[in-house]
This record gives sequence, structure tokens and C-alpha cells, in this order.
Amino acid sequence: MADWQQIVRTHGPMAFATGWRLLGNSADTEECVQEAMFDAFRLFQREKIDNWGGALRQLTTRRAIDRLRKRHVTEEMVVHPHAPAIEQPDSIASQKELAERLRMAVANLPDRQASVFALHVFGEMERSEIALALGISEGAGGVALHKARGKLKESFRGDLASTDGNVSDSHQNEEQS
Amino acid sequence: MINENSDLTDGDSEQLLDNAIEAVNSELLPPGMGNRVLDEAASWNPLDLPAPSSSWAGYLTVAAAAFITTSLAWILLWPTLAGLPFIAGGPNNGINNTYAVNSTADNSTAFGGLNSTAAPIAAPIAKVIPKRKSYSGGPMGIYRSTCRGVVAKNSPIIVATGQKVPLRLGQYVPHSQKGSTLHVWNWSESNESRVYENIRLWPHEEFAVTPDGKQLVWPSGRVLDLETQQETKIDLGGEHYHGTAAVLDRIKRLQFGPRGERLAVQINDINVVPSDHPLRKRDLANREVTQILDFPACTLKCEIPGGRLLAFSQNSDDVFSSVLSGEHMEQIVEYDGNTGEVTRKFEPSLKGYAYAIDISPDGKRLAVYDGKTGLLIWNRESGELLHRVEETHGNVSTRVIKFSPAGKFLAMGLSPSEVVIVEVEQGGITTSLKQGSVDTIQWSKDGKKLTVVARQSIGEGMGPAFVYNIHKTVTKWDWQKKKIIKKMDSRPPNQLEVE
Repeated sequence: MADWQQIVRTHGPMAFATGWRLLGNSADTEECVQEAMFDAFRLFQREKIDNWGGALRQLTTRRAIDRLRKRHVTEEMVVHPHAPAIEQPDSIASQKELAERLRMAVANLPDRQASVFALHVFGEMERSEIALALGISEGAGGVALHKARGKLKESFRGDLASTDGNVSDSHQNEEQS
Repeated sequence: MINENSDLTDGDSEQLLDNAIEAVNSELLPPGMGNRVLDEAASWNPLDLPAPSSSWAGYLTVAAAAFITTSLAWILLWPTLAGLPFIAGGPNNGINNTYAVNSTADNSTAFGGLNSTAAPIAAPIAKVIPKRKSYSGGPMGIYRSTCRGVVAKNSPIIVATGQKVPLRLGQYVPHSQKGSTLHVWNWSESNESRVYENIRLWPHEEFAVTPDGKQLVWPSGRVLDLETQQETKIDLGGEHYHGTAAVLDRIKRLQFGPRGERLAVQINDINVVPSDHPLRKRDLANREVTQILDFPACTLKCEIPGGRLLAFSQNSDDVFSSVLSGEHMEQIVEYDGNTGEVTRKFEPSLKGYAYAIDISPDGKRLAVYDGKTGLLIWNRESGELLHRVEETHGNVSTRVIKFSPAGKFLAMGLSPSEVVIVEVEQGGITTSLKQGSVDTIQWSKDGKKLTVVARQSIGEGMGPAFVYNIHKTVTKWDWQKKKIIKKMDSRPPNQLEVE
């Protein structure tokens, strides 16, 4: 059996980097990785996992996407649910804002598309690894990635055309590919 | 900030997406970030968690294996080790003998447990600021929840995680002191928790408490009797999906019906290998479903779609759920709780998402809090919308609404700090009570008193992150007189740690 400590030391930092890219916030990332580590720890006890690097990134991605979605709800509900629309100065988008918009858009993708996109782009996983981790065919993973990119582009277009600051939650009723 | 520009071409949006990906990937991890979490995770001992079978036989097997391995190692290696000076020097010379399984020849972790080379659990880097009296001027921090807290629906029971010492209601616990031991408060008896020393409740575990507060149920099917601490097992169809390289949560959420005889199990939507288990016929479905089961038999009564927000009628024969009806909009749908058939779709659709839902005990009124507009009250039998109690002062929302036993009043917990009482037939707010962030509301049988379980707020939003868990407080009100009868909470520490 693999050594748990070895797994954490070897693959934990990459899982952390994946969570960080998705969440962009140290408190959230720590919580998210802690949750993912706990998921992994439970797996460690009952399953033989061949690719712990992929499994940890997948678990982190899943927790991070959940957290992003909750963040939307929480922000909408508690922090500033009726905040005025973002004022639009004539400057170009800042890097930070672009990053935040991408995170919000990823959170609004259907589950599979969000996972495949995040694992590929933020988790630096190959399509074959992703397919294995998610239990889907490589082709299905490719389709999901393509659709995710399409939706993200649409989302950017929509965001730019809108100033109301609302968030989409279309993932809840969209059929996954 | 981004310019408004609806004439963006496909190439432009492609470029913008690539720029955004680059922006995300170029954000550097703060130095040292994650060390604490990884150090802590690396130190976890697999013996801390139940074996897969969740049976005592499993524990005994592991313990016996540990004992045999250790004994063999000592028998085989003692002649060699006995001659070494660090052994001769006794136990306080750098050898960690806390866990028998660690005492193997190479000091490795035969069962993945702690060993003497494990990095210490680092305390979070914290600085101290003077306590402030109030943060009402604006959002001031992020509440980082590292413990779970669940309130039984119809009894004075709160379940949460903590360290192995009793906790007071409302106690501030620094994040660095979080634990994973089961705590249960019975606020009718004491404001201190009963500690279940040998029972783990991990901070991020999903679980449900029966409405009478007597049992805990986990997605694995483990059932704990809180009085006797006896464990039994029910078959919820499995906690996980087993993919080819990883295992994913199958059960997302558990919710009991009002009398505890029904259990709603929200199932995640993932493609996996088909199963012939009676509760797993949906394994290949591409959508989330909620299964309504008899409890504790776990026979499937019906399945309904989604089920993000759910309410049962008093006899659990009807189930009310919010479903998406458009972009950012939901509708409340009533299902037959025995067949899963749609019996009514309540019009109009909400303008936003449903944040709270309740059905009056007599089944005649349905109330929903629409995040965009406020409280809606329907005549449940005719489907007619009776009242819309508009949100007027902004920055407020609720996750808790609760009809009084006679259905004449409705208590609504408004975030961040208020409970309002709505007179149901008139649709008007009659009373307002100052409270913390409301978690649960319980009415007395005569409807004259309210018990509010809440969490004190030290400010939420952007700003310094307070590294505290604040356990729930309990306040009993004579709501008509706006008078507090009893309050069970704790004083905040003199100084608050922030990250």
C-alpha cells in the first residue's frame, strides 16, 4: 500500500496549486484542499488508487467548483445582494478581474465541463488522465472541453454586454454532454 | 474594469478567454501557503477513521494486525536494536512510541500512521488585534467554518464537531483548535456539550439528525443512537460512485421528513458503471435526483428531480421542491411523496432562487423566500398566491422560514441579524426581534414562544479573515412581548485573532 504521507508530500502541492488557480483566495483554497485531502484520506483507506496525483487534483477541483458556486450564492445573498452594477470606467480589464470572471464562468458550467476544463487548464492534466480520473472516454472529455470553451467565450461576451453583475447558474439544468 | 462592448467577435472572446486563463495561471501562490494544511493532512493516521466495513470486526482486525506486526518486528530486531545506544537510553531519546505501528524496524508507517519523522502540525500564522465592539459599519471578515453544526428539527439538540473537551453554546473556538470529535448539546438541559470521545465527526462530513434528535445518519448508512451510542447500519445504496481511478461522492445531502419516517437523499449526477442495486438505477442518468426513502427501511418511495431545496408536508405524503424554470429563476413544484408525480406547479415562478421554504402544519399554506423579491405565501390547496411580502431595505436574505403550529404566524430569519414575524392571513410583518445569523427557528406548541438557534456574527465579507468557529447560540423569546426569556451563549474572547 502506498504511504499516505508520501502521497500528500508528493501530490499535495499540485492539488494546492490547482485549488489556488480555481479559487484565487488563500482562505478558500486552504479549506478546499483540506476537504479534498479528507476525501482522499477516506479513499486511501478503502481503495487502491493508481494515480494519486490525478485523484487529488480531481477531488480538489470538485470541491473548488462547489465552493465557487457557494461563493456566488453567499455573495449574492449576504455580502451585497443588491449591490449596484459595477461601474464601467474606460480602462481595459485588469488581470485580476479577468481571472475572477473566468472563475465565475467556470463555476457556472455544467459539472462535467467544469471539471474537465479545470483539470486540463488549471490542473495541467492530459486528456487521457482526465478521462481516466472521471471515468469517461477520451472523446467525451474532448467534447466536454470544447463545449466548455465555447460556453466560457459566450459568457465573456455576455459579461461584457451586461452590467448588472448577476451570475448565471445554468449548470443546474443543463444536460451534460 | 471592463468596457461595455456588445460587438465582441468570436476571435475577440477567444483571445479574452486565453488572456483570462493566463491571468489565472500567472497568479503566484503566496509563499508557504498550504504548508499547514498539507502538514496536517500528512499527519493523519488511517486508524483515525472507521475501516471500510465500519464494523468493530474491522477495527479489531486492524488492531490485531498492528499488534502482530509490531511484535514480530520487535522479536526479530530486538537483538540488533538492543545493542544500539539510543535504545539503551530509554524512552525519552527521540523515539516516538505513541503508536505501536510506528515502532517497526525502519520507523516507517506500516499502516500509514504517524511516525517520528512527520512534520509537526503548524499553527496558523496569526496576529492579534484588539477586540472591536461592533462591525456593524460594514463587512469585515470571512467566517471560516471548520466545524459542522446541525440542529434537529423538532427537538433541543445541536450536533457539531470539536475537540475532546465540552464546549459551551456560542463558544468562540480558534481555527487552530478545531477537532473531529462528536459534540451534542441538549439546550433544554445544559449549555455545555456532551462529548462523544470515541466517535469522530469530521468537519466536512455530510450527515443528518433525525427530527427528534435521537439519531445521526451518515451517507455511508451508518446510524448512531445518540443516547446509547450504539451503531447500526442501513443501506442507502452506497456513499460513493466508484470510477476507474477515483471514487466520487454519490450522496450529496440528506434531509429527514418532519416525523423522521422519510429520508430525502440527494444524489449526485455522475456517469459510472451500472449497478443492479435497487437504489442505484439512476447511475447512468445525467441529472441530479432526490430519492425519497422510508426510514429506516430505506425502501424507495419515489424519485424527484433536483431537490436543491425541499420541504415535506406534515405526514410526508407531499414533497415541495424548487426547480429551475429559467435562467436565474426557480419554480416551486409539489410532488406526490409516494409516487413522485407532479401534483402542482406554483405560479408565478420566482424571480430568483428559492432560499427557504416551509409548509404550514395544516398543509394549507406554502411559504417561500424568493431571493429577488422576498417572501411569497400561497394557498396550497388552490395554488393561489396570497401575499408577497416585499424586501424593502436591501442587503437582507433568509434561509429560514417556519410556520407556527396553528399556521397563523410565520417566523423568518433575516440575515444578518433579525427575526421577523409575519401574520399569515394579512401578509404583514408584525414583530421584529434582534438576533444573530439565524440557523433554525422552533415554535412552542402554543405558538407564544420562539426558540432561535443562531450564530453570532463578527462580520462577514471582504477584509481580514477571522480564524474562529463560533458555535451556535440559543435564544428563547416571548415574541409578542419582544422579550428574551433565556439566552444561552458565550462571551467573545478579549482579543480576536486574524490571519
